[in-house]
Amino acid sequence: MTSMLAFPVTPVSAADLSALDRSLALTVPLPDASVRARVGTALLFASLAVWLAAVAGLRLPGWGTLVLGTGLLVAGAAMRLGWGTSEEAHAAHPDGAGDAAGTWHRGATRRGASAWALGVLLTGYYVATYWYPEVLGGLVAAFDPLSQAMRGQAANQWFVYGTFYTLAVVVMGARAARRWKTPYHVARTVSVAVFQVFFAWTLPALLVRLGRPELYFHYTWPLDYDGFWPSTVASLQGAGGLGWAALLWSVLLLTVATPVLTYLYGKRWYCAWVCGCGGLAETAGDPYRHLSDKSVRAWQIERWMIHGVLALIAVTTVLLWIHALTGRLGGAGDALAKGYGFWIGAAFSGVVGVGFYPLMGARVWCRFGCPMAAILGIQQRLFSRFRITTNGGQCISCGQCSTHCEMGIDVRHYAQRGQNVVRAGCVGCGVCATVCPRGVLRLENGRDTGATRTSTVFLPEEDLVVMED
Amino acid sequence: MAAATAARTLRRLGHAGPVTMVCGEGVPPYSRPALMYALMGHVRPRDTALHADAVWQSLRVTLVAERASGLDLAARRVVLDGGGSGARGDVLDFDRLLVATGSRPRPLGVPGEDLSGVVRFWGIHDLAPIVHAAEAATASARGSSRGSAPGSAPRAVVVGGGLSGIELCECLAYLGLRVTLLVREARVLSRALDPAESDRALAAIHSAGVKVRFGASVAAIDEDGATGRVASVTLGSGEALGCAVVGVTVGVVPDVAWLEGSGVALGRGVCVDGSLRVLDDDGAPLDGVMAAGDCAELGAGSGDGAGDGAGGGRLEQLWYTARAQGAVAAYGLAGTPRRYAPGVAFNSAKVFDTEWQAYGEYDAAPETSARWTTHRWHDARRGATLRMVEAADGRLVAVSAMGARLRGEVVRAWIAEGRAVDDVRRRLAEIAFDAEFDARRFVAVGDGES
Repeated sequence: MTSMLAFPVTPVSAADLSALDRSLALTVPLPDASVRARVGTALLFASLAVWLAAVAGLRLPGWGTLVLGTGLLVAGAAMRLGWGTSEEAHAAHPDGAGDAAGTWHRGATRRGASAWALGVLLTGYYVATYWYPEVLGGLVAAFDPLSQAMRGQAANQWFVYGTFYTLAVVVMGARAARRWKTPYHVARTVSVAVFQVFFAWTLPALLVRLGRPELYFHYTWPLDYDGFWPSTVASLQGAGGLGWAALLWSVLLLTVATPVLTYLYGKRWYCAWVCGCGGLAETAGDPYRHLSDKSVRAWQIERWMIHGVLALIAVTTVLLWIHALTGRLGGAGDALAKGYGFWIGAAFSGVVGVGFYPLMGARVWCRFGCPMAAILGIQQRLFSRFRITTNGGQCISCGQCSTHCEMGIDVRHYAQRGQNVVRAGCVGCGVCATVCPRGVLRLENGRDTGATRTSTVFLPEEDLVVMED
Repeated sequence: MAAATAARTLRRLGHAGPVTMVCGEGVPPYSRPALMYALMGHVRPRDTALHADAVWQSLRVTLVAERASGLDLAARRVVLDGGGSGARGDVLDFDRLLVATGSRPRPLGVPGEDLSGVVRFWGIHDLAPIVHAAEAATASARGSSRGSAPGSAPRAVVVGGGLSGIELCECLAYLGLRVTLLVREARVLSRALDPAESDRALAAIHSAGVKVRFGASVAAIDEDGATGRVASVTLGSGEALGCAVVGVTVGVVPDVAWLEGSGVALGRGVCVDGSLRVLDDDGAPLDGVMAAGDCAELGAGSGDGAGDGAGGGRLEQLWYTARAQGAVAAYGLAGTPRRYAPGVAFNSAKVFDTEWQAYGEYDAAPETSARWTTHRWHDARRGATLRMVEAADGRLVAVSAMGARLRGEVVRAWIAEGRAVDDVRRRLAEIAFDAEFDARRFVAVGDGES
């Protein structure tokens, strides 16, 4: 066959489309932020100033700093969200709700300077909380009144962290629910907020006030990585009936509730409706969901890394028990336990997991590290009834589904072929189905399981025509 | 889209020889329906590419940024226009050819069409001009107004109320302009939607602050003498609408001028037979030359392969038909032509926040549909409508939904098998595709003649 290209031709590639990215991204004129939004931003900065002043030792007496800082934060957020404005004015403004428009235009959400600044601030806060709490200075003391009321003790850096975390889930949850609007999104946002406010913040504080261990009932091994370690089991045994019940609950949650609920609903029952990490990701992390890496390479790394972490925590736990029961392998067990606690529990899950939200999206831990997600993902992939059904044929390949998938799944690849999405990573947030402009995607708990779920490949081209000679 | 689908299908059929795709727009195949979302920041322009470069590489399809300017059938070569790195008159030899040059925007045909501030909305290279026109209009409005009063947002007029025009209205509103849409007909999307559905679409357009004028035609686009930019649009009625940006979205025409004089039959598009083989001037199908997509004119002349190809055929200018035609054309390219027999027709779109899906003969001509019965449902709370059309013998022939999602495969299967509407009416739950917790509760509105 003669070569068809007898002269140098201009090759064309995706780089030519990327060149258009740059020209458009720089020149799209964003409507000036409304006066209300600008006041809101000012209030948010004022809130930050109050907290930083507290760090420096400048505090109002009693509840003063807490009330002022929180009040400014909530008021600022409310104004930026446009509460009180009419729907029309709100919908036309890309700042705030309005679903997916402007995702790639706002500097804060496309790795602009403000995103980097926020990332540095968050990372710094996490580093201080985990490893250098003395840097937090007077900020901790500012939370004493609240801590005394809830826990009957002075505040510590973890109480401050838990309070900020809960505030973020609630305030940004309102934003996320407003952005996506449908009953499913509102329901799951309320759900994670309730789990965070009650099970992750109020109840554990109350238990402490009652002199009991600080128990988190919506959370079990291996995400609660020391939950089944000999040291934890011993301390629970020392807490009487409640301790035993808590241990039993943790075991049942992992061995019974998890497989059953995952079979029925997919791993979304946990990752998008219950989990605290997931709760923050879906609320405070929602503005950054499109920053997840969609490449095949990222998917490959994801698979070996997440199962690696699961293997690591399993081995660590086993070694610790071997040491506890036989006295052997203590060195190895301790070294792994310390290493896991520092590198996975703190650095990966906390510092990178949340600190890097504005740069890498909100599900980096969930996708690349969480051992609970590894277990849930295997169950979802192998035997769950959950899938995202694709309405083969109507897909226009616009790419919004892939863009907004926080787990970096190339949803479009499945949608344009009419193939059900059955992926270990899918947390069932439902945003892909909501942003789809042609109604191609639907999250459902179907009747068929196993291989038939994944094999519904519909070849759109050939199914659209009657093929005859 | 036709070309991209054909290339993929060709490889799936086992064709092993070299495949070269001439990309006239200078970018890899991308999703045209996605353009509005690239402009408004839902996705980036690079995300509209149908496939990553690696996919084309693994398919061994060579993409080149050139434009075809002529076809030499005798020598079996495509002549290029020298816009790429090659020179004018460079050629590409072929054994088999697929003509899939699509369409180009139809000109409005009035004075002032080339003024600064007049934009089209057809391809990816139209996005930057739209943004720049909006920027310039906003800057000059700010410069000339005495404050930041809300009424000082510049005005845009969009000519042509088809889906492209409506999408352009959404883009211009996003860019901060006050938009007026000029529709020639008496109601929105009058061919595809019935009157109740047009009302629903109009409500969606109005809720975004866009104004609509019906029965409006454009006589001229007027120039601002001082700046050389658009100043206003003069309607057929004589009324002038002041504006700084004009969008022209009055349809597309097949991009086939480059084939004139080459010996292929040209009507409005490239005339093809029932297997999408291109016909020559005598109406005979050419060997190894296919056409697919917007540029292909189907059923031209007096029958398959017969007649003089003088036109009178039909054009299918949809994303979905381009895909189907591309697949069928690949069979022809592989040497095993198949008839292009499209299954149940369908289309879908989104008018601002309202999705629309339709299947079957939802846009049948009045003569055909005169004896059909239309059944309607609505969910007033959610603002959703459902329309089903029943033929005289009780078969389901069309389904159209607004603000509600349907299981397309099931709907198309029911129409294809001619299921009785009486049966369908009891089984609406089987075609519901709404999100969980958000099911539409349809209430019958009362039957009537269509």
